[in-house]
Amino acid sequence: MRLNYFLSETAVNLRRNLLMTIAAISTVAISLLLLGGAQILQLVVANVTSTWEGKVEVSVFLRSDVTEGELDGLRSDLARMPEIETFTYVSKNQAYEEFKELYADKPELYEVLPKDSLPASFRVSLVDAADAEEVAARVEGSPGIDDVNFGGDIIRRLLQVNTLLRAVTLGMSAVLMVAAAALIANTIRLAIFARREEISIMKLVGATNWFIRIPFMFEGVFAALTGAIVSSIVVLGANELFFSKMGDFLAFLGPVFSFSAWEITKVLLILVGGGVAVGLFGSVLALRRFLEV
Amino acid sequence: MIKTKDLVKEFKGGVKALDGITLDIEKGEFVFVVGPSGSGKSTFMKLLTKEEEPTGGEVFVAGKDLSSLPRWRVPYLRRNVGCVFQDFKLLPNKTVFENVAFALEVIGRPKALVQRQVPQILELVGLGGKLDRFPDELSGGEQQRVSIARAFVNRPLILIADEPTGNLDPTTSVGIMRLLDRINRTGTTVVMATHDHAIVDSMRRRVVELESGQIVRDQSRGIYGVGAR
Repeated sequence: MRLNYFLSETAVNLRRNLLMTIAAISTVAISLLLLGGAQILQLVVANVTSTWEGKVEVSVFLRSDVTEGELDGLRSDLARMPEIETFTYVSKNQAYEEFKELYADKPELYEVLPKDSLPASFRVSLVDAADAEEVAARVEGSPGIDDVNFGGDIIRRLLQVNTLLRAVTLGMSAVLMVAAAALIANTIRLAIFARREEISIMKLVGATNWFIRIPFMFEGVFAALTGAIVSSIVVLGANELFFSKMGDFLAFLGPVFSFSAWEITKVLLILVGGGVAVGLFGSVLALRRFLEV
Repeated sequence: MIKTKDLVKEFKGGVKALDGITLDIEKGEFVFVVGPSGSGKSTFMKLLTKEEEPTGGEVFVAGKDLSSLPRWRVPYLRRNVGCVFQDFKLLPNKTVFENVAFALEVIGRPKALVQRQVPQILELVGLGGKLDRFPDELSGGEQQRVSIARAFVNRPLILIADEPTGNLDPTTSVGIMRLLDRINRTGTTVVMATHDHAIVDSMRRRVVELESGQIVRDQSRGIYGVGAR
C-alpha cells in the first residue's frame, strides 16, 4: 500500500510538470549518450590496438663493422629488458633473402643489389606496443648500432587522439550531467512548491521525513532512469544497425567495430548507474535546499 | 501532560515573544490561553509541537523533554499532538473524507483502519453525510469540524487549537466549542488559544493569561477577565 502511495504521488508530480520533466529526461539522455560514446570509443581503440599491436616491432639496425663482442653485449641487453617479449637476429644474408622474397616479382630491384648491402638487425617484438618509443630510445646509444626504427607510430597517434577525444567527451558529459542534475533538482523544486500545503499538513500530522521525501526522490530517479533507458536504447540500436554495417564496410581494419555482449552490457550498466547517480544527486540537492523537514 | 519551566523565546532582532513561562497542564485538562495579539500565545503553541525551538528553559510534552528530542523523533511527537488552526488548513483538492484519511495514510496506517476510522470520526464531528464534499462546498464551521476530525482521528493525547473560532460567527463558534468539549471529555488534554471573551466566559475552564510573553494570571474556572476590556 505504501509503495502504491509513493508511486501514485510520483506519477502526479511528474505529470504536473510534464515539460520540465521532459527537459530533465532529455538532458540526462544526452549526457549519458556522450558518456556511452566515450565508452564505445574506448572499445574501438582497444580493438584497433589489439588487432595491430602484434604487428608492432622495433628494428635495431647494426653497423657493418659491428664486432662479435658488441653483438653479444646487445643480445644480453635486450634479453634483460622486461618490455621485450622476443627478439631475433637477422643477418645480412637473411635480410637479402627476405628482400628478394618481398620483391620476387621485380627481380630488377634485387639483382643490382650487392648481397651484403642490407644491414644486419635485431627484430624486437614487445609485450606492449606503447613501450616502442622508450625501448628504441634505450637501445639507441649502445655501441655497434647504426639506427633504430619502430613501427606503431600510427597506433601511438591513435592513442593520443583517443586520450584527447575521450577527455573532451567525458568533460562534456560531466558538464551535461551537472546540468541534468540541476534540471532534476528544479523539477523537484516545482513539485515541492506545488505540494507545499500537503507537505505542511504531512509534517503537522506527524509524517516522517522519509515518508515526505521518498515520492520526490522517486521522481528524480525515475526521470534520470528514463533518460538512461533512452540512451541505452540508442547505444544498443547503434550497435545493431550502425556498427555492424560499418564493421562489414571497413573489414580490412579488422574487427574494430564488433563488441562482445559483455562489453555492451558493461556500457549499458555504466549508463544506468550514471543515470541513477544523477537522479539521486539532483533529488538530494533539491530536498536539502527546498524541503525543510 | 505539558510542563514548561522558565520558557524563553527570543526572535532575531531581540523581540522576546516569551519571557519565562512556567506552566503545568495535567492530563485531561481544558486550558484557555488568552491575551492580546502579540502576547506570545501562538509562539507558545508552536513550542509545544517543536515547530519552533525555545531560546531558553524547558518544555516537556507527553513525558518527553523536547530539547533533547532528536529531529527524527519529532514526527512521532506530533502524532500525539493534534493541531487545529484558525484557517483550517484543509487541502482544497481533496474531499472531506480524503482530507481526514490523508492524516492517517501519511503516518502509514493500514487502509482497512482508514476506511473504518474516518467515517466514524466524521460522524462524531457531525459531518457523517458530507464525506464526499470538497472544502469549498462547506461552511466555515463545517470546515473547522473537518480540521478537528483530522487532528483527532489518530486519537492524540493532546489537542492544540490556535484561535479555532477566529474566523467563525458566534453561533458557529458555540458548536465548535461543544465539539472540543466533547473531545476533552474523552480524556484528551485540550489547549486553546483565543481572544474570544464570550467563549472563555461561558466555558468556565482554566484560563492562563499572557501579556508581553509573561503569565499574568492562571486561574481555574476563570473568565476572560480584566485585561480584555
